[in-house]
Amino acid sequence: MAKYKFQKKSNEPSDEFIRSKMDFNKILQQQQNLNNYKKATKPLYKNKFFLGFIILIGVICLVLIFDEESPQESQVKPLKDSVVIDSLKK
Amino acid sequence: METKHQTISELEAEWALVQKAQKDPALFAPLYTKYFKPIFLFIFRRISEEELAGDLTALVFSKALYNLHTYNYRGLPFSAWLYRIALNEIQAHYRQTKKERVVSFSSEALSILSQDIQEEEATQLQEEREQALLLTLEDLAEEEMVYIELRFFEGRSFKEIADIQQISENNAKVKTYRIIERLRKILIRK
Repeated sequence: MAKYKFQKKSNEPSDEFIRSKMDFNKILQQQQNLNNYKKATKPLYKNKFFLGFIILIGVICLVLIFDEESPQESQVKPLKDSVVIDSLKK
Repeated sequence: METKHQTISELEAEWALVQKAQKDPALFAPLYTKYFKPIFLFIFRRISEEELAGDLTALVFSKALYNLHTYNYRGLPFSAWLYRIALNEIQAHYRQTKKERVVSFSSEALSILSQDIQEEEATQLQEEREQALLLTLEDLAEEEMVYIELRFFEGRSFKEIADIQQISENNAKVKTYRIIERLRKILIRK
């Protein structure tokens, strides 16, 4: 199939016709519609509040994880000491 | 051809208008009035349907207005940015409709292109040469056809082509001459 349709320049539309197609209010309306459409279809991950919420949850999770890990470490240390003392006594 | 080279002061005055429109879309009206006709004709030559050209022109301006906050002055005319959007919309239209892309030309423009491409010793008649050239143009990619249209069928300067294609003037010259060279080789092969 041919890619292009070659044609000799036909008469271009008159100035009057072109002027009749001008409608700035329609452009403003279309721009507003585009704005509304983009807002309505904005993906969740691009939403600042959603992103902030996810980060907050992440930070809380990290704090909880590290908070739970620290007591375990303190329990292990005395155990090690007692094992050493026991072995020395023997 | 409908555009002239603008002086730096004209470009800066236009940039001032754009900045105003970036703050208040209603102030885009002077730019809309100034460029509606050139953009309409630019699209019409590539679509060949008056009503559709009107619709696509409206789409170009609403997209331009929507994206106006991203526009930055880099010493290029504002019209180059609008032509760029128009080219994208034309390509999108043909992708969607899968129709043959319309290429409009005048007899004089085709004759000039034919003379530029053909070897001097070519013995064919002018009409035969032009027919052969049209068949050869069929082998060009969409991007290459844009250069041929802008340079030969619309008679734009390399500076304008460079502004529309967002490349340097030198690069525009090199690309156009490479396409001419390619056309010449295809023509010889055929």
